[in-house]
Amino acid sequence: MEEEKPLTAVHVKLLAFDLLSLTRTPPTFSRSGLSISRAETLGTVTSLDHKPGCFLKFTVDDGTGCVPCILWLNLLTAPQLASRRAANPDGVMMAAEAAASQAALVRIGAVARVWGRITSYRGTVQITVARLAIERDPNAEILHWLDCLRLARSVYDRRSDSHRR
Amino acid sequence: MDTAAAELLTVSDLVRLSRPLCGTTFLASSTSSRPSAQSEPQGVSPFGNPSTTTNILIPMERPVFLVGIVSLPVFDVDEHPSTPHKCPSSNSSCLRFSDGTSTVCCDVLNFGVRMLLEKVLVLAFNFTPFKQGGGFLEIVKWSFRVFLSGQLHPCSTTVPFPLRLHNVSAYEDSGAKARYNIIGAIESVGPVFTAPCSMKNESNRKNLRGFLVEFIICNCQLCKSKIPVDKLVKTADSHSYSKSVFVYFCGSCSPWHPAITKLIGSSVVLSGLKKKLMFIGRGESQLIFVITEVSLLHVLRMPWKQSVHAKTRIRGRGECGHYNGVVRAVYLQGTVVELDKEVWLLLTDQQSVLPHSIRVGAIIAVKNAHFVRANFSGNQVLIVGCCFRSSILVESFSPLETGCHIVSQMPSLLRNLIAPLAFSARLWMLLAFSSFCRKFDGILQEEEILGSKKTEGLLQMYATSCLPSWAFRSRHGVFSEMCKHASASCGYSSEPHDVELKLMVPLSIFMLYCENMLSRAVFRQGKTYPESCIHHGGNCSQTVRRIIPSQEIGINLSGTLKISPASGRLQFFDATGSVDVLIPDLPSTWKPNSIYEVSEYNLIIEGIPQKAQAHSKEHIDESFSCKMIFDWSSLRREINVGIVIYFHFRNATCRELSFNSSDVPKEDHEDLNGEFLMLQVLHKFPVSQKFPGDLAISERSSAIVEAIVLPWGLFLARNDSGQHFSEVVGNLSDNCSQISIKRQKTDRSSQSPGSLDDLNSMASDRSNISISTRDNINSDLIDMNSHKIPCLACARNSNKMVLVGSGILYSIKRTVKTDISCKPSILKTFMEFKSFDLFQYQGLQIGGFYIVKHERNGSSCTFPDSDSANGLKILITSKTKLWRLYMFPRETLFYNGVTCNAAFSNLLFCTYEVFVGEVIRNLVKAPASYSLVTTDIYLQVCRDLWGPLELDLKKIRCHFTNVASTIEEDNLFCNETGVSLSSSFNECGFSSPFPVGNLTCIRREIIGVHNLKSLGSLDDDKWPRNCNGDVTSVSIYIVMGHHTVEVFGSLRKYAWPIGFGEGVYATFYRILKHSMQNRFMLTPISFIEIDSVRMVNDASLSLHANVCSASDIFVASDATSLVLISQLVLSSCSSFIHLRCRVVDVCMLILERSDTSKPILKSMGPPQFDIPIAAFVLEDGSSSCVCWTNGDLASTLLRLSDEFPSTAVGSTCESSGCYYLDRILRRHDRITMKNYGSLSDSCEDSFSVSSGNILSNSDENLLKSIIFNACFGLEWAIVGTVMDLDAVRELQGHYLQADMELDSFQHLWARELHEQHTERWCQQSGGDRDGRLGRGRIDGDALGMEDVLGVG
Repeated sequence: MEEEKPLTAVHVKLLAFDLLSLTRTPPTFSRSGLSISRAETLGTVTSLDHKPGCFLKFTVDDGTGCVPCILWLNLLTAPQLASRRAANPDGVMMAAEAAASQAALVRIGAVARVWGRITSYRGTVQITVARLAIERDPNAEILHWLDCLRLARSVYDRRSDSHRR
Repeated sequence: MDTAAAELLTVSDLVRLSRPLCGTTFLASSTSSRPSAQSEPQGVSPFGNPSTTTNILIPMERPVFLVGIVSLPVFDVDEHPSTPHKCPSSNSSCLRFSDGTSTVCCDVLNFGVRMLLEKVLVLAFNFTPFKQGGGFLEIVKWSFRVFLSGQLHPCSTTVPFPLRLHNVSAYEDSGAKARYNIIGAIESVGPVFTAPCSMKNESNRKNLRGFLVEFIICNCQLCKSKIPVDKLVKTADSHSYSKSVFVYFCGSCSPWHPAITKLIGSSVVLSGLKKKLMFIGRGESQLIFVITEVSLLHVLRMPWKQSVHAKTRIRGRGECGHYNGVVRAVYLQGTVVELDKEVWLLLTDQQSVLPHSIRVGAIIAVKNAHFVRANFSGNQVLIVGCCFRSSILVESFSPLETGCHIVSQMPSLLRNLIAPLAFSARLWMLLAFSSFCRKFDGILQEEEILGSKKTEGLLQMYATSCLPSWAFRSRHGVFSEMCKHASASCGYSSEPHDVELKLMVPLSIFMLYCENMLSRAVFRQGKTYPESCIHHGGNCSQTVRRIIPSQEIGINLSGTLKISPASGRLQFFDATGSVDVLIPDLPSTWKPNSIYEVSEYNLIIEGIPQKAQAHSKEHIDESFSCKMIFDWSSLRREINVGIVIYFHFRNATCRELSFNSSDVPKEDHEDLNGEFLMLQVLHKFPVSQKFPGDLAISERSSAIVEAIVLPWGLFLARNDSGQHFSEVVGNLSDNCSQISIKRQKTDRSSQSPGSLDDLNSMASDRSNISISTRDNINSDLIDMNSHKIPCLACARNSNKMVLVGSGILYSIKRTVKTDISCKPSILKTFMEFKSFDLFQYQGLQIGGFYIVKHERNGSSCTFPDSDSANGLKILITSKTKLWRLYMFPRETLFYNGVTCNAAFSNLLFCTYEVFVGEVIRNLVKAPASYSLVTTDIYLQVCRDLWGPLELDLKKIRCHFTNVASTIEEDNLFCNETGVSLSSSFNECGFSSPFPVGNLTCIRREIIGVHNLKSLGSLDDDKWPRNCNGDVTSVSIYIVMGHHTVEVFGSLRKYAWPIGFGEGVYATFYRILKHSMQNRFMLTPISFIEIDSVRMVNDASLSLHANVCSASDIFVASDATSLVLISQLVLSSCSSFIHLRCRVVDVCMLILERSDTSKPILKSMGPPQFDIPIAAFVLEDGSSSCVCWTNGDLASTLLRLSDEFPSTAVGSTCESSGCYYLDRILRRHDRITMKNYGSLSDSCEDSFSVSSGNILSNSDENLLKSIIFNACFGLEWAIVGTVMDLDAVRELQGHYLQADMELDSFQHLWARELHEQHTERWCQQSGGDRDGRLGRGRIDGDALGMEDVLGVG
């Protein structure tokens, strides 16, 4: 049987309770032994902490828990990105503009879909946002649940089991 | 054969019985045995036409036979007064059967010439009575009486028959010098026609009747020599028949027409002929043979000579040939016969006569007809067109009880219209005639449709405007077309094939067609919707809405525009039905009840598929056909979908019929002279429906419009009073300049021009300004102390600007009791429109400015101009004209017809909405641009004097913001901040049950509409319908900011806007914002206006993908299995798989310039470039894969049709990605883009973009932006096939000349693409019953998900 591709490059769809219970296994995270590093979540924005030019922290509540998310807005100023800015100024500029425009969309009460890397801050799992979109479809949330359940059942659980074996 | 047991029946017996029947001598003792053809069960039509009778002919119970003589027809009854019978058909050449008791028309199978001379026994026959008396005898089987008695050998074919039956007239040829004989096969027989004839030295002219017969003879020396007939007959078999000659049967030989026609294809010898040189046209002559007094006919017992056309393959390009078929229906007095399936026999020539025996069910042979394939509105038909050489023979009589067609004269005007047309145009014309007759039955007289000798009818006007030039051709006479047929004198051979002509159909057929279109589309996609989602009489989330452009429908529409007295809606109307219309640029001066034609429109069709399917299953395959138009009565059924026609008034052609209107139509702007009041519409109250039977209210319906009378008047002086226009402009400009100097001085001292604060200073400034008007008479009407602004008025006339004249805007001083000192004097008024004048109401737009004539000396409509008139209700009748006004300030007033029209055209071009596949953008609410398109009067105002008026308008707006329950003007175009509420609604202290809140106005997109219950559907006893009408309780879901907000309440059926539903952008006026909840409530005064309409639940997001999926390969996504990307490894390469995923990256993209000649479209038109290959990384949470595709699918996945954010490209206005790529590709033939990294790690420099030329940074950034936009966007449903690595490497090698590291991915070739809809996925999830829910904290019971997921 062909070996299955690792899930580290894929944005896994996990419900908040599942996401928040991931175990940190640097450089990735582990869900019942299955390595993952990117995730997608969807829910209502319930808190906002905006430091213009620095970051936007917000939490996404999907009904099973609240996922902390951080969107960095300091791509043009952060010292650790200096080399990248020098190498690809246009690319960094575009990313910074995209981050700023996405940050403007986030409001408390909005239903947001977030893609990003799974990171941890002070021991808590969070998502470092790569992209986000505001959902207008009233069915989006419940369909996200269904997706999460379906994937958990037919992919993640199965692969965790096989990994354990 | 024994006729002893049979009873002799007389013709008079048959006539007396006067019922359709059949009789035979061979009837078995049991009367139950019937011919097999008659065993068809009664009531089931073998022809698929319910209107066609399927009763078989009733057989006579006893064996019968007839004895009589078959004789040739008598054309001129006046010359033969003894003739006892005349065929009721005009111009008919029927055979006759007579037995001494009576004579009837007859037709014979297995005709023999000898039967014309002897008595025959008719052994089997059909008889059909005529309504006018008499009847028609179809002789199925016959025999000679003497043969039956064994005395004579049956019909010896070599016996010659004299062709002259009567005395020869002086105009005909005598037998002298009649020494020519011909042997050959009869190829074609022309129609009977009359030719003027005169003798030498005689002034009297006589019409000589006759017909031409084309023979194919042998051209050998023997035939050319004058050998005796008997020798010629003996050598008949040895000849080669190839030369065409014509024989003219004229005078007393003309009755031979039916007999000779029946001999088409037979070999005959004609002897005793004369040769004559016949001149046909200028300088052209033809040598023909003429029958003489001594001419004889010999019918040879030779094998049938095969016609040159017998084996013609039907290609439908005008070629000539024979066609055999079954008659399915006969329409339009026998001018159109439907044969088989969609084969139409045309008999429109005056000389062409439909034989009586062509009844429904008969098998006929059409000889020497032309075959033309035509396409009418997407429906392919084969036309069998008859020219002068064509003949129709019956191969088998119909066993059905279908009546004979008595061809009376077709209306000569129609015949004249049709005569010069090509065949496809003739059928088109007949279809149009049939449609018009049905559409305007009771509306127009036949004369108005067909026209008269002096005036053009509607049909002719329409045909002239629609038919291309090739459709009209010159006709020649019978001689010319017969004799020069081979040299294309006939003209039919040159008819273009496969041409498409748009039809005009009755609205009832159009609506059926639309319903079928929707059902077919739903079936094709394999969609089914649960019955539970069908709500009574309204929309639900499962409603399918389609927007189809007229180009795809191929049908023109025609009808009257009128306001439905029942619903108050604007409708397109004809005698067969009516359909709602949306006309964004409807002028307020449109003419109700005029006939309009529209060829460019968009159809908005909306319905619940299940409901549509249920009614359409039997009709689902019933595509549009010509039969529907000719025989539409069988198609009457209920329409179950909502249909709206959306078109621009400028695209409609108004037909002015001058038959019954003695008055010359007056230009709309002719009345624009004198004093006018200016109004602004504040609100339109919904049409109040009143019901017959309600004694308290006598009127049927009426509507109220709330408006304010502005404190400004307009005086217009027409420009036709003799003064040169430049003089007027000069005066006005001079005044402008003088005034502007004064204003400049004043402005220096004022704070900020245009601000509200300087109103007082402006008011004081008014007294300083004086303008001399050229019309001193009217100066006393205007308060000279008031402010005056010179202006120029132009009126819209079609799509041109026409100068009306110069004018003056002047302020009207009123003393209105008000607590605001500087408030302009404003009168609020209510305009009432009765049911007959609702057309004016329809044309009004909320927020629009209007002018209305102000008659001081009493008039039918007087507007309040006194202080006490505030709040008056004024009845607006059809006599009161309201012109929509658009004012724009200019530095200098000028009018130059050409410049203005050009500017106007540009304006229209810029502001017209763009139909982009799924969205119709209606400019009804787009500010400025809309006003220009729909305005009647354009007022150029001197900019330097514009300030006071502008300030007044601002003041008014400000004032009404502070008035309770009045909308705020700015709210009309609500921005992202959401609802902007007016000041406090008079909270009257009622705690409950009355809702409390503010009236407001919102403009948002509707994402869902649910009819909770239709109150009108309740029993009348339980619900006071008379008071409320069909009231429906609705929940409308709109998006506001990031929230879904509900607009709820009761909506009367007639307040439901046309085309309202999911996907619509609408403005809700005066809805109540619930103070307690985040909800809005519809009130009885709420008014909803549609702003734009979007396609809902369509297979794909963009037009391009739609076209693609509907083209070569269509894979119903529902028919394929939905899999996860992680399961792709298990899928085979051959089967289709269905993924639900998102684009997360673009690995590779090649763009190629395709056509630079076309202009770059800012709108979302088809791209002018090609995408030969593109590779996308897809993800669905389980894994990722690479999806390869090209062309439109790639374009759709890149979301190139999306409006691209202007900030991304540094542009000032938004345009589609297509537009920007088009622009880049003007400079680069081909661009290859490879991505070696991942967009998820956003700022990595992973792109490599290459082109023949150097790409600028901005272009490269734009490409990156487009790719960025494509990622993490919409969720797609992709149907495709798995690719193996070899195929991938081949693709890479072909396009990239280098491998990218893509081996670790699964690869897919996309075949079909849909935007993923959540409801649909819900259903798919519901169908996935093979597993359990999985572990999770979500309680399935609590969420009701068990039902969805099927968890046990």
